[in-house]
Amino acid sequence: MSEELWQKYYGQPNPKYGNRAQYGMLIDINKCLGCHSCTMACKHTWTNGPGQEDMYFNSVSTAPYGKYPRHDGDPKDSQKYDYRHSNLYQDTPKGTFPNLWQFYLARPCNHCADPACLPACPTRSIYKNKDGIVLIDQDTCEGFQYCVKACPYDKIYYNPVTKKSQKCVFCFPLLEKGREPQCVKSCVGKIRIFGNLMDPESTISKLIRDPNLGVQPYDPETGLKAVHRVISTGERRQYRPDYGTIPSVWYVPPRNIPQAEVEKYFGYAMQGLIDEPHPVPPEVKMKDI
Amino acid sequence: MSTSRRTFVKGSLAALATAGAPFKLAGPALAALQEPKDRPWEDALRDQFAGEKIVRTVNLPNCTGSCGWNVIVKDGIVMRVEPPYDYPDDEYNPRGCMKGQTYHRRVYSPGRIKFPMKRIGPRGGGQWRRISWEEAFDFIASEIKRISEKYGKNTIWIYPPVPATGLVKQGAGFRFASVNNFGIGTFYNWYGDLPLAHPITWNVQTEEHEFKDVQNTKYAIIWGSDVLQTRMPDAHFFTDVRAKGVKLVYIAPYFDPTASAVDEWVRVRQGTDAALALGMCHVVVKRGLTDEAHLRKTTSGPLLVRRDNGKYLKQADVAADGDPKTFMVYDASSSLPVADEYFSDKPQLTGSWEIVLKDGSKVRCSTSHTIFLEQLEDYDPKTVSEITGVPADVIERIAIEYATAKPASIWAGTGINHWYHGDLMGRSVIALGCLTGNIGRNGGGVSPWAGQYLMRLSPQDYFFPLKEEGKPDRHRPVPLDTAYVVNGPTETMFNKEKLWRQIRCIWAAGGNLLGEASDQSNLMRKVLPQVELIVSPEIEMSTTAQLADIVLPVVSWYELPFDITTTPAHPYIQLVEGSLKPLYEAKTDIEIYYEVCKRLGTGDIFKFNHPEPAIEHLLATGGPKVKGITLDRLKKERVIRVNLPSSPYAPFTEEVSGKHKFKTASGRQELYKDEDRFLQFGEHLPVHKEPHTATPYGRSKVWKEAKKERNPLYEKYPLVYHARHTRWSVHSSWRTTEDIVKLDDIGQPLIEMNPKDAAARGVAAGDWATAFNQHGYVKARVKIREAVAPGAIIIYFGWQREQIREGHWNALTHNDINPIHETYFIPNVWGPVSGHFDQLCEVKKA
Repeated sequence: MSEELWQKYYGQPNPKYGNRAQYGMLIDINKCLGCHSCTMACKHTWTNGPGQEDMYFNSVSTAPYGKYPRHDGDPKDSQKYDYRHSNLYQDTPKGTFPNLWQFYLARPCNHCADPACLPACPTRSIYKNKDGIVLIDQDTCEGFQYCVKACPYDKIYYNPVTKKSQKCVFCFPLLEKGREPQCVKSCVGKIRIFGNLMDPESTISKLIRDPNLGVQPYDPETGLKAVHRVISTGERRQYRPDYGTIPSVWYVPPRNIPQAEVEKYFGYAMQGLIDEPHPVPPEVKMKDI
Repeated sequence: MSTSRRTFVKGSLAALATAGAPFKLAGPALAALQEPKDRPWEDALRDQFAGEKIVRTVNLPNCTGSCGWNVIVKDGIVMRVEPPYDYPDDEYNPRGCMKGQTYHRRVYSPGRIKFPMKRIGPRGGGQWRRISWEEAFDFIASEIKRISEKYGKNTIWIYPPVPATGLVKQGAGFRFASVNNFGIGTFYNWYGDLPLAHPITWNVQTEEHEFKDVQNTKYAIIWGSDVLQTRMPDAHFFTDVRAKGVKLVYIAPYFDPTASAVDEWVRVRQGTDAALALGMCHVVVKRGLTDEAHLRKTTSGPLLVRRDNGKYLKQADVAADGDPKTFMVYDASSSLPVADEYFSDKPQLTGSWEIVLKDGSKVRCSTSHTIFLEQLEDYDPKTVSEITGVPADVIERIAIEYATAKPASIWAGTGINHWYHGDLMGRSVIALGCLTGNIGRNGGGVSPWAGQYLMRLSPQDYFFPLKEEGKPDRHRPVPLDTAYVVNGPTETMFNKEKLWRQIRCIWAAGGNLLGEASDQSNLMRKVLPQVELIVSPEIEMSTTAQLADIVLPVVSWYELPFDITTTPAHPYIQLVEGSLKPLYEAKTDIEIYYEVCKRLGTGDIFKFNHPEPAIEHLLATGGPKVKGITLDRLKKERVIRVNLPSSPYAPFTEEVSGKHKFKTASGRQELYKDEDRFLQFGEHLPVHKEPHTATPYGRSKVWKEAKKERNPLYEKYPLVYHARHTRWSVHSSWRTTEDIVKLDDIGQPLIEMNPKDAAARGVAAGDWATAFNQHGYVKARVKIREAVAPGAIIIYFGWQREQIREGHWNALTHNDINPIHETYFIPNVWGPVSGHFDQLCEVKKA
């Protein structure tokens, strides 16, 4: 991402929600082992309760065939989700033997700068906290599930037992204690960098702005000891930026797959970011509202 | 603000367009800007972390990862585990995959064994009677006494788990067998994990580089080792160096996960890896890229070999008073054979001469390198391409890349071990490492990654206790090699009287023997009916427990009071400490052994009934690698690096710098072997032989002969059958854990095949199909994947008895024993290596 674009997206407080921090992630797909340690760490922390059996806030699937959730249920209802078998088509590559490609796509909630789920909520239970984390108030959520349908990334889940919608919380209670989210901490492939995208000094914002910074050892600003995490150099992209929600989860796209395929996942023929005019408004103050 | 609102409306419209939701929102999302104090629900999430107690321990599965975990306990229940980030070397943080993260689900598994049980119906019928521990101990002891008297003590057979499952726990099995003089099985060779090429070439069990040493490499070949699936805690070392620009090459027949994460995938025909390695050797030699100094100083290259009988020329051959154990080299200045001196740069590396023997007769001798060079002529890239299916230009290119990158490393795995001729594949790959001088260098080497064997301390005194303090006599078990126990004896075996018995009692000490054994049909049909007692100490109802006569509940790792663990590729000794009180009636293995010993009258010799004194004993008698490490220190530090000569550890650094010799008879790396059996089978030097079973050509023959023949078995069973390790289980451990199984496709055994093969057999994805051959069959659903090479099927294994609809994935495997593997017998060091990848099958719609 160019410095100019970074300024546009992260150089100012969020124009709509005012958050002055935007926590985000950089995931190096080239290094993903497809081991689902992130999925499991998340599941055992957040979605091990009733009604959450097939709920994975963080999921990993083998692109291109693996999808979670799948939509291939009822032909009359394209939005009927199938959450079962979250890792169907694992390791099923595309192409004809021996010319094949596949990659593991790890996806937590994107905690978008302009989330689609938030305005869809009829009870106004979805909010962006001061760290830019998108949360659903479980006290006020009434389970209308408009957010579930609004999220283009299918990262909001309806819990039929509590009758509320639930989603990734970026482990905010752990962040408050100076710890990284569970999916980052447990990532045994060491492919994830976490931090504040709006902080020009944070490792993540430096790594995203300068694609050549990848191979430097990484000192996270969180309370953990220094962790040697090596990130591939090369362009940083968002997954499906064409949805226009400005996701806060960034990727180093896979090198081993045809460039045209990279564009489908990480740019949709837009060569990466949606570089449309996106004026940066003046800082939002409470008194303006 | 106006701008903001405009953007907002636009944004929400976009969102509506995406969602197609039939409503719109007029105002801004005021809720978004509310202060946190207005969101009391958040506190519920914060509070869930209150009151947690953390215990640092290690998981002990047979993946041998020995990953440290912080076990998080609340109100006496394990909530979850987290990586502790406490390895002194930060490169090793974090360790542990999704399986380790899910172990607590096994602790609380619905299949957990709660109390001792005795079978009341037929074996495997699932009818049990709850008994007390006293009753269980008494019954086992009386049965063991009865069987010992009737058939002999060595028909009581302890099948030990691997060292990674805890030194105290595993060692207690050995100790139990030792003090009672029972038979004991082997695991490392019989699993097929032992790279026999290592004892053959270096006379070591196995030596490999610490995984951190990947960071020092300039070029890495991952040879038949799907590290992304099978070595998750260390796989990042490979992807890390790749990110830094080091080229990774993966050599394997299938498009495995690892193939998708490297720079080049070299697709080789199954079982022809030796040919590929020798083809690369050929290119290295022809291009003049050989490291002659390395060959001359440290390998068997310059040693003279008699061309009349293929034996090494010894001093006793040429001089009347010569030493029969001294090897000879050719000295150019005196034109005479002289005694070999290790690390000398004088001897001729190539050449043939007429040597005068002590009786005056002349015999033609060549250096062994000369013979190797002659043999390499058969492996030109064109021929190798014909054998392996790898294009000639690719062979040429990767050979040059490997030979010119210094240092370059090879990381080999079970893909080239689990074969009848796995030793030849390993030796060929090692030859490539020797030719290019990569052995004994940091960032180089040929490291096998398969299975577990090496303990970073000497367990001698604990495993085989002294009969009397101060005297060398020890209590020892009778080694009954598992391969023979399952297969029956062979004509060519090292010592039939000693190594084989029809066993009458199986003590499956923490291993799922009956669920995992290759050659399943033989074991079930021939061996098992004659076994009168099967004891299964287990945590969950595994296949073995289901088929046992007595099932004993054992504590899980989180209930274990203490244990210690070391692994080879990760040079730490770690303390295992449980965080829970034993659940139900579970006991530790060591206590169970002690109680049985007490009833057999050997309790005093067995001595330990609790892990703590056993750990102290192990550390005190463990030798130099654990010098200075005590239980107290471990309790404080939890993880301590063992004393090793280099960091990161690389084997043979001292040998290749001339500090001391290799442990072989010649003191050199023996690429050339002159034992009768090697000469008899034409395997004195690494050669490519077609697979013993899984080949369309002549079986176990060199290419010149093999290509003229057709394998009659292949006409009937034209698919190579590979039952393989998956990321989702460690053999059968975790295979029944719901959280894990749910992430493994549809959570069932799957016959995975190429669409071409499926179409030819009229099978569609999701169909039930049977894979079968002359030995047995397995019935499972079909998954269609281009990643599987045409002409092969893969089944990811580990499924328990109740999860397989019919048959068994190992029912199709049968391991003929390779006589080369029987040249010597040292338990778990030199013995029959299972070739369970060397199998064929056919698939039909069920």
